[in-house]
Amino acid sequence: MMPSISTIESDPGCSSSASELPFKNKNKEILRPLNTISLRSLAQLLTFRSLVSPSTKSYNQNLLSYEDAPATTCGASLSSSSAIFIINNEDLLIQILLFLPPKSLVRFQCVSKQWLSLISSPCFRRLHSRKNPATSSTAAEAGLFLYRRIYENSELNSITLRNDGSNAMGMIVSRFFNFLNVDGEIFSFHSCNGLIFIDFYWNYEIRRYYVYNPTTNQFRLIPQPDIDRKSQKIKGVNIVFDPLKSDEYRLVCILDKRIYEEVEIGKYHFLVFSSETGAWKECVDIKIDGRDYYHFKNGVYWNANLYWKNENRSLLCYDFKHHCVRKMEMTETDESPRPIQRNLIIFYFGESGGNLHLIELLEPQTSFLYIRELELDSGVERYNSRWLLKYRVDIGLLTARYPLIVNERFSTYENQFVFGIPCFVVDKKQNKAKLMISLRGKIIFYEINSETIEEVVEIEPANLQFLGYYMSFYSWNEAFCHFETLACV
Amino acid sequence: MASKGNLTLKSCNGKEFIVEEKVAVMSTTIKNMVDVDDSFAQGVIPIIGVDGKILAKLIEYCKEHAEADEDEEVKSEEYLKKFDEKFVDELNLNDLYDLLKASNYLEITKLLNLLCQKVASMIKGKKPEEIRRIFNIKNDFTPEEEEEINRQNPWAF
Repeated sequence: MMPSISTIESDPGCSSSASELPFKNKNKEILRPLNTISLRSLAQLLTFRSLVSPSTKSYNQNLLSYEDAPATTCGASLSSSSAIFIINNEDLLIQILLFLPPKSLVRFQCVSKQWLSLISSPCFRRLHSRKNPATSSTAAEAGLFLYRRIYENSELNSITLRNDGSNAMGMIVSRFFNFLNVDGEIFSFHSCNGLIFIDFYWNYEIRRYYVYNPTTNQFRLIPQPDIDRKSQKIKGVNIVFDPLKSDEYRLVCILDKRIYEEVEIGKYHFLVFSSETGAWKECVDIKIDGRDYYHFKNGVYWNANLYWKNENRSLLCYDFKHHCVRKMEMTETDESPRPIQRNLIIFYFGESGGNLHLIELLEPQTSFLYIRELELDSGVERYNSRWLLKYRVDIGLLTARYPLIVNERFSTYENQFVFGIPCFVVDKKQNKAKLMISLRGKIIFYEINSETIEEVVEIEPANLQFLGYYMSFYSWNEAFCHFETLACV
Repeated sequence: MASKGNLTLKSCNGKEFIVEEKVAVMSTTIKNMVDVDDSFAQGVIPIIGVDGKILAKLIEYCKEHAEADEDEEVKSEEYLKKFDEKFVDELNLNDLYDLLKASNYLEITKLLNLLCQKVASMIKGKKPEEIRRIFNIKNDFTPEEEEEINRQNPWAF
């Protein structure tokens, strides 16, 4: 009944072959065969509001995953008069509720009508998301969405990154289709600090933009930008939301220009939508080197700007303060000479713990991943920044435990390893740097400082062959970090 | 202006506590009383609705924090954090609620926040029906309404 996307199952048969690496075994999640979770089937399984069938109850029961309740005598005691006084004092009640995580609050909406109206009020939600801003520098990533297109179909999966045994993420995915209630496809997906942008289309013609908060199940239909689709093509739409700065979120739409169906190479046009004005605004044009290919579908928000990377180490930056776009040339550092005669493969580009990271590997021959952190030059040449080397990780160490990481078809022209890095999580407080590595059939976390491995997800191998070589793992541009927030959309 | 001396606080069950002024004015309510009317600084300040046991607890907390505010060297942030943790952990449930109510009345913001956080951490994993039982809240939804809310947020339940 319940669409099984990421159910927790223990795996006692974990083969423990000899390895130099300490190994932390925990309950693993199983990702179902990829092709069985097409969005279409999810849409059929679930309907929304008035159309809900009595069978809804059966999956609600499967979701009784509570956070570990602390063993207090709370439940056993009779309510004291002070307790009743406190809970009936709305100011005090709000103060207490502001300390609760979003998930508990969503659940407590059905305590009473007073609690419902308090928790669901935009005012409270704003207060809560200001007091508990969910960003990678202030909170832990709640999970990861894995979105990609396989041939003509889109595929959406999720992984929970919480350690509390709850399994909320799996459900979120199917809930997207609760509100849409149509048989369609996600054409593009982007997320920022807990809000999600979805470009949805069906019947090959109807196209809709949504901003969705999966924590509160709240969504908003966004008007399409008014563009001439003959002369302009959308290269990507990114969402930007920074609860540390404002309640407002923005969408950035990147277009390229075409003249008589031909692309004017390297010329891009940017439109920005603001949740406050509810309208798209033309912003800037930029001409960049035509040979540069930027990952416009995967902008990364950092330091109040939006960044896109190209195939080298350069970045394109949308500056929200000055409403301009600029290209950032990188200063070469001593330990990062420009590779000569070697192929630079960028495995990851993203943000965590308040820093922007780039992870690269030089092919062929070496097995070292270079994890770099962006350092902005604060001098006169402001835009000359560099990628500082933070960690060097030998991916070859994993081959003993995970032989499938090695590319058996490796030749001079192909990569020697088969893996992707969907995310890199830095926890400065706990001094941890976790590299998520997506192998054929498995997704693991590798903690760099302690050199420990934690298996996160198993992907059933049934259709790996069907999906082919490059579909057998998830790479950075298919992964989107998720945070829980009550922010209004 | 009140003199920099000691103040006498009197609980509702008649217990008197002599405390340093800097400790007592951690409470905004007391600070306002002393600022407005000098006679409070000399006489006895009645703390309405707070008994001796709770008042002693409040003073214990304020003393620790007032001293820390004065001398950061002796009582570091780290020390205070540990003190706060121990302080709330040792409270029994009734005292926790009584203290929360009292710190709201006396406007001891830091303590109020600490206690609200404690209550939040105690209830965050509970089911809605447990919340109702703990706080004696009446469920005023019809079964249909409740189901509707559950349906809209299936994963949170």
